Amino acid sequence: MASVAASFGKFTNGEVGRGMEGFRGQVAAELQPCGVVELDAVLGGGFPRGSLVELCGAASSGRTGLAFSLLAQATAQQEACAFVDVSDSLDPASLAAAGVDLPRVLWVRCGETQGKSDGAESSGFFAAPEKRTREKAAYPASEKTLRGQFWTHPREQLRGIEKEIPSLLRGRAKVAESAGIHVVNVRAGRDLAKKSPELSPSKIEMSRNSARENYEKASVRYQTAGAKPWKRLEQALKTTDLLLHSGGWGVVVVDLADISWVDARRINLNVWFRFRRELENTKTILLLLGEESCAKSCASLVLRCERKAEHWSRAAQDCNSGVSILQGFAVQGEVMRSRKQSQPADCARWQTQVMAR
Amino acid sequence: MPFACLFVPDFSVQAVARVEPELRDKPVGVFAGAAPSTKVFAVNSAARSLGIEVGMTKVQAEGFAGIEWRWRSPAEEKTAHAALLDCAWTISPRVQNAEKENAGDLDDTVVLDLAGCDKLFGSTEKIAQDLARVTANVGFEANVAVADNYSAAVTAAQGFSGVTVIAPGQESAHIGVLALESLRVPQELLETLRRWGIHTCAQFGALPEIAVIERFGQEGRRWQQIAQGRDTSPLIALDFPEQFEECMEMETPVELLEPLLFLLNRLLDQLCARLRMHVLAISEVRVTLTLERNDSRRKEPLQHIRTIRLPVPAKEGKFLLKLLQLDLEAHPPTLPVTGIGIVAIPAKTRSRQLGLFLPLSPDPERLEVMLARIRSTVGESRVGSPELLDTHRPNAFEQKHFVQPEIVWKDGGNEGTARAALRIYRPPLAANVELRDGKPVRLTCEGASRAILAFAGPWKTKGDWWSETAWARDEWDVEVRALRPKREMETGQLQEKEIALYRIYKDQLAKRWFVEGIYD
Repeated sequence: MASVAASFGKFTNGEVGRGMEGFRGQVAAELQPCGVVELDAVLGGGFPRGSLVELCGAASSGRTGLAFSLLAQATAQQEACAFVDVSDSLDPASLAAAGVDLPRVLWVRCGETQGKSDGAESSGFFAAPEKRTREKAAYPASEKTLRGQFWTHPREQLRGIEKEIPSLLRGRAKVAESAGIHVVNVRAGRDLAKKSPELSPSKIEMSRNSARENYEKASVRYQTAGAKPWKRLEQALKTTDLLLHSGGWGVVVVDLADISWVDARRINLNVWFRFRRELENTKTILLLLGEESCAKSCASLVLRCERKAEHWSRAAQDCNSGVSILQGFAVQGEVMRSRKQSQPADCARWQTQVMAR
Repeated sequence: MPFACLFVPDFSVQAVARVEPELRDKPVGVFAGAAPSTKVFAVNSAARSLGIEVGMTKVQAEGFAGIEWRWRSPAEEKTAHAALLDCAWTISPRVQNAEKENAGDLDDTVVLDLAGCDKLFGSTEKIAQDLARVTANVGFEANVAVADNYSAAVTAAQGFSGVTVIAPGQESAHIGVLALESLRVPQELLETLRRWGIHTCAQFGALPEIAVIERFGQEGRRWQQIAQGRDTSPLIALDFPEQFEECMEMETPVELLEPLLFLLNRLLDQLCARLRMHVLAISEVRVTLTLERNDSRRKEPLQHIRTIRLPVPAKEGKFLLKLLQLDLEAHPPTLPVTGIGIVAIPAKTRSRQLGLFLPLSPDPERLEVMLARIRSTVGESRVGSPELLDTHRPNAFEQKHFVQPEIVWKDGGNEGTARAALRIYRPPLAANVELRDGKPVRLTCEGASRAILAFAGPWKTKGDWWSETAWARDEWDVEVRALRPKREMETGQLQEKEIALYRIYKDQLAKRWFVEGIYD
């Protein structure tokens, strides 16, 4: 016991006992600098390679700029990177201004496909038999596994999610669609009612009627903003799976920033778990941008970005013209979760610059 | 200076059996001609042993059981001939088609000059064995003959089965035992010689030369020299082909993708085998599917053509088949398929220096398959690397096919200040902006009205005024409460106090306001 304690003590101090040299090598992860000196100092060197990293924050919090900075560092090292754009909102000019080598970035723009959807038959000719079998047997994977009839690839488990999700909300779907109220699920609605008696289901119904005018505008807003992003999410997750499976990427960014965290959290956790397993023993960083953390314990590092102050300046000396420029804003990055046992600090603040016109 | 000759007996039958390997051990016959004058054009030895003869009518021939019948395919014969030439090119760069005596003769004989090849490939016996092996790899049962002159090699290949090597000076003795029919002499000359009692090449060669010239002219003299194995015709080398082609015509139309892929796999294997003989890879594949036409009034064939261009030349048939499968699943033909043609554009195989410290990069072949899968998921034009266009017009970019760039080592890292990115709304959001003294004070968009807390601008830009794509806009950076606020974790309520930075602009041509994007 004394020898074990002695060897354990040596390990925690950075030294290892005889026979444990290989174990120390597995603990230390390779780090990729993100290009923001202040944040790299806080993280002890950068983002951990071979892991899932989340950047969370509200709108205009600086998370996309930080992701671009990481891509710039990776492409400067001649690595191929991928950007899975769920909402088709990437600006190539901003990407280039951040120093990213554009030919090394694969940009995948998700969206509603025109014409045929996945698995559609083409007038009865040349549809592969296995595809027809999959369409007929569109049951949840867990059901089929229990019956032991056939197994679906995890990549296909999200197929048809856009049809399945409304069925989960069938009890509240009518209220949600007409009033624009975003009820997460029935259970959450009950929990909500327990916490706030004034928000009981019946009162939600009543308050819907009185707030109909405002929420109708909100529903219009969310419809135009992609209130039903399931198709795009399905494409994004399938694309990410293909990218990680093929391997060889330095950074893969999945941009869920324009997707409400309510929708993003409906992604099954086993998806993130599977991604994390694919990342192990590789050098690829999977970077998730979103409003809130959705990968939970699957993420090795969770950073929350927050805008602190804007920097407006007057470019011209002529006060009559009043022409001014937004030069940038300060961002604070806070480490919410990290697998690294010790790091110098939890917060970093840096200044960003808006692209010059 | 030795010459080698490759001769494929029953060429029409072997051209069909080459793409249908299951027919190689069966009796096979080939029909030709339009009804009602359809006749047997060619048969293999197994069918010949059952009593089928060339020239039989279709009705007579179909009375024999156990024979596989196919229709003659000039296209398949053409690709089979190209494959035969490829076999010859593996040994010598100087290759020629044997001269055709009649217009209806098939391209079943190829001659190659072996000068200097012994230093690379060994003795003439070994070269002949290698040629036989190479032709077997592409699906032929060919006769191989090596002789010291062109005509002797051709005559020996057409007369003797298997591999024949004639020592220098022994041409006359070897060829003399052959019947005159093996020389393929014109029918008139053959009948005259038979009436004289001449049946073998040796007997024909023994006739006085002057007498032969007097009766048959210079043409007769030439045939006599061939029978003696003394012809000294020069070899005129063919040019190397610029593309490789395989084709196949089906007896019954194919309606499903899986059997179509099975047939494509066969043709791709043949193509890859031929290209491997030349140490080449495939840079472009063009697949032409001939479709079954429902309208009998039109004669021109209906085709479905798909082209796949590879940034990195590939050698593996399985990889190409996968790309074709993904492409055909995304762009299937609308009618059953009656014929397949594949044209491959060759390119040199890529060679690259491996190293221990190379940066991460995806495997080129796996990358192409993955990109094809992603394209089938999100759409054809939505995958690629972005490229900015050389213009000041806003949002001017295009997506190019993603190709892993070459490694360019640079000194130093990429150190710079962090940038605030702009997230673009596609399409831009229609908005209304209330101005006061020329400065924006209120923004209305997506049913939400927001007071502008701070602003910067205007930034006036215009361009392309000389063309139809003219644009003119005034841009502002504004700070307002978020148009799409986030929901709070605990209550689910919208965070109405959330502040965000937007770029808005007024289109001076359309006189309308838009929200272009949000800074993040």
